[in-house]
Amino acid sequence: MDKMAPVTILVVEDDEGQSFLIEKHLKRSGIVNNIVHCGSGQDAADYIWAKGPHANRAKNGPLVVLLDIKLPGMDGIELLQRIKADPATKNIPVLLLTTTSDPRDIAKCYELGCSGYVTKPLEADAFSEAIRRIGLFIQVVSLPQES
Amino acid sequence: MLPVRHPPVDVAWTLVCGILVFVMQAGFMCLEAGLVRQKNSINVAIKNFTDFFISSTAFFAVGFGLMFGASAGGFIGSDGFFLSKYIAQDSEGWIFTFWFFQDVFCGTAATIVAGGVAERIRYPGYMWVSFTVSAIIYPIFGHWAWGGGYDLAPQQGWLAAMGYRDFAGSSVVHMVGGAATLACLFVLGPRKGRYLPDGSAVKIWGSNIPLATLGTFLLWIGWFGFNGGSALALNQSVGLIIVNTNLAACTGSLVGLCWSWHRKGKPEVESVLNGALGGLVAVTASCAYVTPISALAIGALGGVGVNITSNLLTRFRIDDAVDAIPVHLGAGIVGVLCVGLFAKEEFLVGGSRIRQIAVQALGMTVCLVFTVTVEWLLVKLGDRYITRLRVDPDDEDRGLNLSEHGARTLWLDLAEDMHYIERTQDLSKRTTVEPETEAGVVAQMFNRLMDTLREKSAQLMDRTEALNASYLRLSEVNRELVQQRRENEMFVYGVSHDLRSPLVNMSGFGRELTYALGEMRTLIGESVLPPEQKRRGLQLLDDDVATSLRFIHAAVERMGNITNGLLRLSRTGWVLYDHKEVDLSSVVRRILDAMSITILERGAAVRVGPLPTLLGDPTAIEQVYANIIGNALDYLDPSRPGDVEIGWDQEVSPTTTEWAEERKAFHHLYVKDNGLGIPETAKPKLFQIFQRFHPNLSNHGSGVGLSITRRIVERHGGSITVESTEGQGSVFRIAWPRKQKS
Repeated sequence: MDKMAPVTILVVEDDEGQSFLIEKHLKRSGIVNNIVHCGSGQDAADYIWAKGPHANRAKNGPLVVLLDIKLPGMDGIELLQRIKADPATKNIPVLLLTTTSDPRDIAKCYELGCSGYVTKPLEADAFSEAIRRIGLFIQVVSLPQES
Repeated sequence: MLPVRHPPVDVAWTLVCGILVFVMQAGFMCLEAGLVRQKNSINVAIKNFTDFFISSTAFFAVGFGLMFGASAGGFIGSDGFFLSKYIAQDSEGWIFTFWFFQDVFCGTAATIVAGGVAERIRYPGYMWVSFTVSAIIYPIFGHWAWGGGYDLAPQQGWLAAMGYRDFAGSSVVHMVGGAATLACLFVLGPRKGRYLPDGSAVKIWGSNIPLATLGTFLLWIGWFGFNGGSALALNQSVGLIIVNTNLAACTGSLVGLCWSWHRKGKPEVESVLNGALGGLVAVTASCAYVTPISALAIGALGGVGVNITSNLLTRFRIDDAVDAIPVHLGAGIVGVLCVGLFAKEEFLVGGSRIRQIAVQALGMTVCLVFTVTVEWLLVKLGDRYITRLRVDPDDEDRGLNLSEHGARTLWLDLAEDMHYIERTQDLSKRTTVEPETEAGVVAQMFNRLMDTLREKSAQLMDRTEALNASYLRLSEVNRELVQQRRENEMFVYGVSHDLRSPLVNMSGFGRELTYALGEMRTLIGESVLPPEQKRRGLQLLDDDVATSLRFIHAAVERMGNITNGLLRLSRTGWVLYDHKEVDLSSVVRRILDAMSITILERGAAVRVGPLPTLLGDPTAIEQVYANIIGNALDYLDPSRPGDVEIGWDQEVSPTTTEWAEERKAFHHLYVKDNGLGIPETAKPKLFQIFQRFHPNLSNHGSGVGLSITRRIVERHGGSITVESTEGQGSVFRIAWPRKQKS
């Protein structure tokens, strides 16, 4: 197997508790990748485009974004739109991971080109299972190199 | 040649008969006024009065001379105008008697026209008509039939010279009168509304039939003078003449009676009266020449002639207001011909009946053609150059009493006022009250009624206004309520959404605590703590921590269920529906397949009857049935075999018709079970959210199932109800509209 550049997982989530749980469950599923947390849409955008406080971040290889819709300031849908609008970033897989299950939101996200939409289950076991599976998915999937 | 001497008794008889004939003027007036409408009665009466004084004057000036003056070639009299010549010649005064008798005859011919043309001829126009008849038509034909010089100069009128016989004037007076009427009617046309576009006749009712009957009596009386006096002497023939006159009148009446009885089922009065008159007219030509038996026949034939002519007039859309033409022209023709048919031999010309009939026919034809043609010409010319003949349509409506004479009839005025108010619907108008009159009393009552009506009408208007205002307010409130509900649903939806995030956290960290607890237990178990401490430590973990966590976990789960339920319920308020045809049978089958395990477990028998195709959202319909069938299975009585029936009420049960129509607009579906039933206390709140009545059963479910079901059904325009007896079972009934409102 080729030695691929290690994937960085960007978790964009404003709820600290859920952010914590997501990282916990990802690690439990065997993920050893670099996990970066951003608490707002703007912060995530800065990271993705290496602007502002993240201007000097290391190029960590391909990116996978786990995105919540409900974010302060710029919301998840707008961030998704921006990512997909920029040719440099549009190939980055974006998984929506959100509490809402409004069918309108689901439709919009797929329209904009998200790679998947996961509604966080209320049930703790189901939640951890969902994150575990996302982790497995990330492990097996091939990703475009960061440009 | 000197005039024949006339004995005083002859003079007396002739004068008295002349006076009787004058009574016929009154008779005609009563007859005609009685047969026309009230609004024209005054006009008709005065026309009858008028034609007498006009005809008398004209006859004195011109008519008598033309009729009885020395004959110019048998066609026309040439002298005797103003009677001047005869007065000079006459020493015994017979001229006056004779003239008077002839004058009233002329008046009779003239007055016949008044009836036929009634209700549409202008008064001045009628004066012209009278003049033409009495000054021109009557004298000229009279000369042909009777003329030959008052003093019996050798030259006779040409018809008379041929042997034409008309004893008292069936043709001279009656045919002339009738034919002149016909000529006038050609020019005038029918009365407004008399003939419908399809040709059928509308009966115009007379205003005073008893008066008309009186008129007929007076005519009958006068006719004795008319026929009897034509002998110009009180001799042997007079008795026969009078008897014949009477008998003909009788059979004429009988014919009129029978004809009307047969044709219309009841004897119409007008028919009987006209029958009598027809008989009288017919016998007038031959009363001195025939036997009484013949007179019976002649009278009857006269009656027949009247009826046939009447039908002909209707067929040709000629409107004779009083049937003057049938009586005088129709029966007159019969009368003239009957002379030939029935006259005793001694009176026949040249002793030959055939010849007499021929001469009669000729005379009859000449009379008809001459009168109609010349009168028509004179009337047409008069209409163009002298005075308009026909009244305005408005005047015809208002009545000639008013238009020609300005004569008011209080009752008619009252009727007209009321009609005006009815037509304009102007409740503020009132009728004029003529005090101290019967009509005035009624007018006053009517006005008071109008006051009350107006008041009540105003009240009604107010109530309607108030009702309208209430309705508008109600609509407004309704709109607000719908809006409010929508807002509520959006709110609930929003809140339940927002609650999900903290719930995820609570649930997630609850789980973390449980993991940590497990690890701690292991840790303590493997530690080197003294056994008592170890035991204490484990006890703390198991009793306090684990128990607390368990309860927290349960509570979080419950919160999750509630928010999920709220979410689903609020979504049913606004989620968009597809409108499709849904095969309910296959939906139910699908649901039962999914629930087959539960059905088996409970040992329930589920029966499905024929089900209709519903119009609505397929998902929503499936939700409804899944919920209700699920409930039915869940709440079965474990102590007896469960039975669930899913069906469709195709027969609309007999109810009052208004509800039946409503019911027909819906499909009536039901789900029946023989389960635990619903307690009475629970029924009012059954469809409300979060109510559960059998806490021992089904801890799953959020308690929103029936609320959602009801909301779905309502959004489709239907309704859901339940009947239930605790311990026996329940029936859920759904009324689903056959047509969806968009």
